[in-house]
Amino acid sequence: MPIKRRLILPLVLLGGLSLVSVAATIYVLAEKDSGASAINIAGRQRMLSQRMTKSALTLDRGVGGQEAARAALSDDINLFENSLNGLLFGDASLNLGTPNATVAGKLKAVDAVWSEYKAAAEVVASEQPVDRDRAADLLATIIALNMDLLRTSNDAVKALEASGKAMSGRLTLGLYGIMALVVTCLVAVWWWMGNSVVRPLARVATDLGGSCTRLQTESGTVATTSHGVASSATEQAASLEETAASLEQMSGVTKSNATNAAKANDLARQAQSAAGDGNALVDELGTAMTEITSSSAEMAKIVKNIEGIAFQTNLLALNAAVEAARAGEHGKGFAVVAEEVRNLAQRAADSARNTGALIEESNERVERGMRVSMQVGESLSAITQSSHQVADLISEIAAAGSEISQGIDQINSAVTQMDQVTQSNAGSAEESASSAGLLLEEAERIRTLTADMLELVGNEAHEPHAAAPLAGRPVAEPSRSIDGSDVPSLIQGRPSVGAPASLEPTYSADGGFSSDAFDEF
Amino acid sequence: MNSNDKANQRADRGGQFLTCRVADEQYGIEVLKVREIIGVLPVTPLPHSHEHVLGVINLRGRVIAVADLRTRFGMPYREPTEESCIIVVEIDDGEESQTTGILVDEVADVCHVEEDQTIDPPQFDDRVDSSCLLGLGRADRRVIFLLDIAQVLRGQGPTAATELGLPPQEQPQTTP
Repeated sequence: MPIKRRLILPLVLLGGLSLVSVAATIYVLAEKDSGASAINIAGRQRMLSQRMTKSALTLDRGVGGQEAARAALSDDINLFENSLNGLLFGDASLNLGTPNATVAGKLKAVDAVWSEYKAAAEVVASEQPVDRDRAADLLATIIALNMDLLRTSNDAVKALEASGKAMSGRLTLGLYGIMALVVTCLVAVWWWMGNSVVRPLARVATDLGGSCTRLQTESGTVATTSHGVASSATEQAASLEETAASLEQMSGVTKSNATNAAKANDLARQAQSAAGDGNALVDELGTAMTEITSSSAEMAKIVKNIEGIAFQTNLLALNAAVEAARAGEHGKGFAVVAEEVRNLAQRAADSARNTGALIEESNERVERGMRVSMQVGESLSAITQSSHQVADLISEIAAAGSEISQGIDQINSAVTQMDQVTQSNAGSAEESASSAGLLLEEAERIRTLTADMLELVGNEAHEPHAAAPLAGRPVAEPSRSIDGSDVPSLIQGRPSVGAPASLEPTYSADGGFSSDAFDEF
Repeated sequence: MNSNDKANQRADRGGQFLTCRVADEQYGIEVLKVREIIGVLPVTPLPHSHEHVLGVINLRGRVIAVADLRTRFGMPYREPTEESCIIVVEIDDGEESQTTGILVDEVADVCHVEEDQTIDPPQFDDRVDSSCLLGLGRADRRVIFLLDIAQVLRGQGPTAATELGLPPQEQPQTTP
């Protein structure tokens, strides 16, 4: 419940009491005033009675202004009559209340005397002439009644005074009662205020003090962390610069790679075309070999012919030798010729055989050459294929290099962005550190204000249970946020290496929030 | 042929010989009995004849029988090669002359064997009937079997001259 609404009840109570006392005072004053008016009017009645008597005497003696006396007498009669009626029955215009029984009895007595006196005085006051006797009687009556009237009026005045005094005593008593009531109410409101406003305020102030301490601690932690973040950001910025430099180098290497890949591609294409030329040459070689083979076959046929001729010649020579032998002595010369012819035929046959062997050999060699050229052709085809593949691979390598180059560009821009972000992070961390410092100062100020407030609400309002959680709070808690792994510091309940030293004095200054120090409030 | 003839033959077994090769051996045929040397001609087989009688050939209008020396000497028949020749011999046994072809692997040459360079054939060789040999001659560091070609063609060994359709003591059917 807000204090505004809580204060409504005592305020209403106090306001009501004020109103009551004011009303009572006004009432008392009015009563007193009324009593005073009544006494005044009653006194005036006495004076009026004497003046009316004097006017009657004046009229009776006939001295002086008769008319004026008569008017005065008439006026006084009316005034007395009205005043008496007012006193008897109350008259607001005359500030007269209804009299009590005693006063009313006295006034009735006055009224009784007055009715007679009035009758006589009215006659006197009237202009009608009366005889002397009558006038003397009237006067005598007036004089006689005058004393009664005066006496009764005196009694009435005395009764009124007594009544006023009694009234005044009662009113004073009432005022005392009201005063006592007011005091009681004040005490009650005081007690209630202490219970319902001051104590919550004190509790709030105490809690505020605790929160303030925690705020200080956390601010210190935030400041340390921010400093750490700032230094980390600086290191990161340095690393990013190194990364950017490395990327630059990589970009250069990639570009030279691309150039080399293009050159290698050209070379591979050249090798491919050279291998293709070689293939065509090998085909030509194969054709030439085939032609050689067919020529060899022709030559072999010719050699065969020669061999056949040599054979036939040999046979002829043998026959000639046989004929020469038959001829005996005569055939000896012929036998020599036949022998020579036979030798020639033999040599021709040998030569033909050798030539045939040579042709055979050359045929074999040509076949071997053909096999070799076929292998060369296959090798050249393989070379063509391989160089084609090499060219393809180099193209892929070139494409990959350009992709790598693009990637490096992207990485470069990303690194630039990261650099900016890191710079801004460092700035933010610095700002956050300074903000944490300001926060620390503000927390200190709030703590002072809280102490002031506690002083304002009074130390008796403080209850120990409010300070208990503060006192039991581990001091090492800030070290947890420095790095989550600092378990020993938690166990020892002391800030360890990670805990900022600057927090230490701050916290010992906050010792005022321990339960012992709270007693000092 | 009586023993005197034989002895006479052996007495003058020196002279001119046409040497030829069958398998790995060199054989010598008396030049005076050689009519001519020809290449291998198409042979017409002769039914119901001895194994070593190959058939007949047409030699310039004359039909003559051809014998295979390989088969005659108990060796397996072999197809003629380019070097194979047919030696046409004329055997004159006094009354009639008989012309026959002999298929040999190769004809070597005509050589002269001196009388004192000949010896009698050894008697232990079963394969070559020693009756077919005049002897062994030596010429140019070669040893030559000197064939008695008439005996070869007439011999009773694996083949007999009669099997050629030529009874030994009768006139041959075909005369020049």
